[in-house]
Amino acid sequence: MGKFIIERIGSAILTILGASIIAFVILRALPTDPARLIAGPFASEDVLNTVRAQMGLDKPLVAQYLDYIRNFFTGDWGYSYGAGKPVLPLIAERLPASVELAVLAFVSAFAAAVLLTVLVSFSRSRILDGILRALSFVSVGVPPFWISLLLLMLFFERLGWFPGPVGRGPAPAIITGFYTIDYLLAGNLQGAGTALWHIVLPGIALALGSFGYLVRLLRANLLDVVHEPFVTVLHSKGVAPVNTHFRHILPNAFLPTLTAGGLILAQLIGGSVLVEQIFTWPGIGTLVIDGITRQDYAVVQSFILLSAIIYIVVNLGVDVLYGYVDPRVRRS
Amino acid sequence: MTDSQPALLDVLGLTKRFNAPSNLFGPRRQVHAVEDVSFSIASGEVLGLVGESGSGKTTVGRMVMGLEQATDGTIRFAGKAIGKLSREDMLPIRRRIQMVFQDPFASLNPRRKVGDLIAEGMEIHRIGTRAEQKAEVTRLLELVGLPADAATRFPHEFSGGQRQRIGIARALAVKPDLLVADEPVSALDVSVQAQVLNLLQDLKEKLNLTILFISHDLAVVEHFCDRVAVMYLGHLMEVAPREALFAHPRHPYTEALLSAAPVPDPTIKRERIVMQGDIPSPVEPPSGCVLRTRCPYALPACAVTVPPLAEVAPGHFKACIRDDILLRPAHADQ
Amino acid sequence: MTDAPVLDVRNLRTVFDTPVGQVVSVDDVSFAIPHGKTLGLVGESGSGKSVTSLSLMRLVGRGGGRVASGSATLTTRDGATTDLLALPEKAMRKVRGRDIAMVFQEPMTSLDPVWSVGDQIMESIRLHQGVNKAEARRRAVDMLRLVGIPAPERRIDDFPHQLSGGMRQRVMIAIALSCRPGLLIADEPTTALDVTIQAQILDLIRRLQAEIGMSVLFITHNLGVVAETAVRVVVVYAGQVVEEAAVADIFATPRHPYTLGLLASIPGTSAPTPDRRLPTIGGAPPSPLARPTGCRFAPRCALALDACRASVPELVEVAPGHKARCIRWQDVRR
Repeated sequence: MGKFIIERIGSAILTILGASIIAFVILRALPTDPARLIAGPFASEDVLNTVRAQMGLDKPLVAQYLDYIRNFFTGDWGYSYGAGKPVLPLIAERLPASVELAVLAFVSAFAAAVLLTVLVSFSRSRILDGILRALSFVSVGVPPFWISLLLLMLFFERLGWFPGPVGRGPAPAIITGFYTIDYLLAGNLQGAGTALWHIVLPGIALALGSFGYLVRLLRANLLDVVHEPFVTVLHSKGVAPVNTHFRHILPNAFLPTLTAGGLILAQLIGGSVLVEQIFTWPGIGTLVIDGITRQDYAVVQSFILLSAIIYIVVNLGVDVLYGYVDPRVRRS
Repeated sequence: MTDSQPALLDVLGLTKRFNAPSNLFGPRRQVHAVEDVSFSIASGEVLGLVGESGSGKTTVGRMVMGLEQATDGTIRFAGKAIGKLSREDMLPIRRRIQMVFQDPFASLNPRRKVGDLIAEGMEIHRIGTRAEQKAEVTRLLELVGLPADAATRFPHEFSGGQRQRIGIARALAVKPDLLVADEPVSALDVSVQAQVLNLLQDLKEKLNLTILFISHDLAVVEHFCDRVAVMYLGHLMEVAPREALFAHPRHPYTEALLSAAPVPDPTIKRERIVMQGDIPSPVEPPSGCVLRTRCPYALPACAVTVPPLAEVAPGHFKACIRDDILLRPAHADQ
Repeated sequence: MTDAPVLDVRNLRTVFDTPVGQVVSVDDVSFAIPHGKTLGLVGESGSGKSVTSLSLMRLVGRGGGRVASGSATLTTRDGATTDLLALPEKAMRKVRGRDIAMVFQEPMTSLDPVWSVGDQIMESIRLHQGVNKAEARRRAVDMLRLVGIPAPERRIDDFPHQLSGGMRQRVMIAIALSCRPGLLIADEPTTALDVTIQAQILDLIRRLQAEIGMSVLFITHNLGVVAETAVRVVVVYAGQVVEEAAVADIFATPRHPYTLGLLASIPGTSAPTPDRRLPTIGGAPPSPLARPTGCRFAPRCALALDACRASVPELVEVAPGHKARCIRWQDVRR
């Protein structure tokens, strides 16, 4: 098992390096001249050259790449001219907001999907199955920004049950960057409650699509496994249906859902731009959109690599978890 | 090997090793599927290739068909080496070697009509006009004992035995010289098996087919084949004419196979030589003679070198260093 | 050792309600499994032999079937008798695995891939014998040793994919026998295995049967296996019992044309003919939805008369302990 984990970490590191090369090359291939962007449209050639030298754009590409890697590891991720701050602290400020939202949304979606799908499949009721399927179709089909607006209209404007599009609410003393955790660490239960209260609406908007997708996937997998020969064998041993379903069928059906789950989580962290925009959520999604519109080079470059890292790390986690759950994978 | 007729298929030193999935950091592992196999089949002859799982018999069949590239060794068909031919050069050869597969349910495309499946070979090799092909399909269906209207139906509408007949019709559509039959009756019920075997016998005589008959069922092989080659873990153990193999087996593995096969006669109760243990993994085959880990007659010398296939009687070859063991034949008590 | 049969099946009838009509898979089947011995249930695809075993275990519901009528009286080790088909489901669950156990055909897919083999054996033990985990583990290791798996203390924590087909089948047998059932239903347990492994498994079942005094219902289409293992044989065709006799009688003096045809079509059982053809039963079994009135074998029978087609023949006693469903049984000769 240890060997398995080390192998996976090794592949992950190689993949990250590969992603860094791609991020590096893509930005260098863009038509815009970064020096011109920074110096402005009226700068003279001399100023441009100075800026280029400052940014290291006059060095050969390989040297630039090595600089880039070195800077990455020393924490120098460039400077955001749009925000007027270095990129790393900027991202460090905004990333936890996205992660907190994505993780809470994902966990709820996952738990709800698994619970409902397993119970419905165990009941063998065609009516319940039909309802669940209809629900999953609707969830998958609903666009997140539309549902965000709908939720706001209904639960904020009409009913006033939840806060409006004001972002995360009051901040606690920052330790991890996750408001709920930081409030709890400070012993402030009410504050944690407020933080959660702000997360509910954007969380639902994000969770719906994942929920529908996971339900469909898990349902299909359960159906497949139910027809496998070993299930008949379990019945012939006299194993009660409850145990057959929860201790044998579910673990087998769960594996592909686990993989899909990882991908969904990674996507939610980096890709929830529209929801973040609508709720004024200070996450990395809005950060990178601003970066793109302002052609803020350093921010975009860092974000590309960062998203790749998020995907890779989440998938590494999934792989390791998979190794625990599926013994066939463990023995390579 | 019969010298009287020219060999239609001549296989020499055939070897196939697959790359096994290995770790990122581990040594390269190989599956030794087929090791140094040599035999020939005369025109009009039926050679049985017998073995259990992992013996390599299916891989040999696939290499003869050109579906796998040999790692080493040569395959000569009608005198011409066919192992390394280009796609264009191989095409006329493919017409002359056809395969019948084991699984009648998986080897026919379920989305195509039976008539199209049978005619497919003719289309690829551009044999005949559409009308001629259609007529040929009807003729073939009749030849294999199926009604002419089967051409417009789909495979799932037929039983296992009928689908196997369709597979045979498909193989014969291009009028091959050599038929590679890979376990053609193993998936069939006993009574259906008999029908299909009779059909193959009819076709063999009518069309003067040469057949490489791959099977694990010794009773079927004894009934159908002229000569028999026995394989284990990629190696040839014994090659002999049919009567000689069953009446006077010369290799411990052949003896084990013969004694393991249950006989449909309750009055025969014999002391069976049950070969112990499992078949070793082809990724790490035993050194020397691959059978030595399970062979009741193994000696320390068996681990040293791979025994060569040596002729011990006219046309009868065995790969075993021991000449001193008396082996029990099949039907010992009859 | 009592004379009463361990399982007495009377007039079993199992049906499947499909969109295209009702399929009667098992039609008025009766047989008795002698105590401590093996009964062979022989039939080809579509004969209903597997559905019979699933019916006895009350597992047909999963495939959409139901037992329409009949009784199956089980005599457990302590002498008590129960009708399996009349038991409430909860009570039946206690019987499964404890009084009757099953071994299935496909060892590769019969075990839960994410549970260790030890856990799967212990599941049965803890379910039926109510012992704690440590004791269950001890018994599981004993079972693995009993079925001939080397180094059982290590292999108990292996997962199914780490074992070969033969080993997995041994594990299946270990699971089945872990609670010392009085009856083992083996549904084609060796069909998917290599010949030498098959021999080992058959030996194992025989040995264990003697050791724990177990009765066996052995379902197969392989008459060689039946000859080796069974003392009595029941032959089924198209859902009905067509012949029932002691094993020696079935082979020496079959009294139903189907049994006769089946025996003759096995390669090697009849004297070889110069034209190398096997005697066959023409045609194919009837579709369950379109069975002929009268004798179901009549369309394929060389001895068929009009009387045969008029009504279904009764199962008559043709000799002591020998029954056949044929009005012309006297004319059936090998």
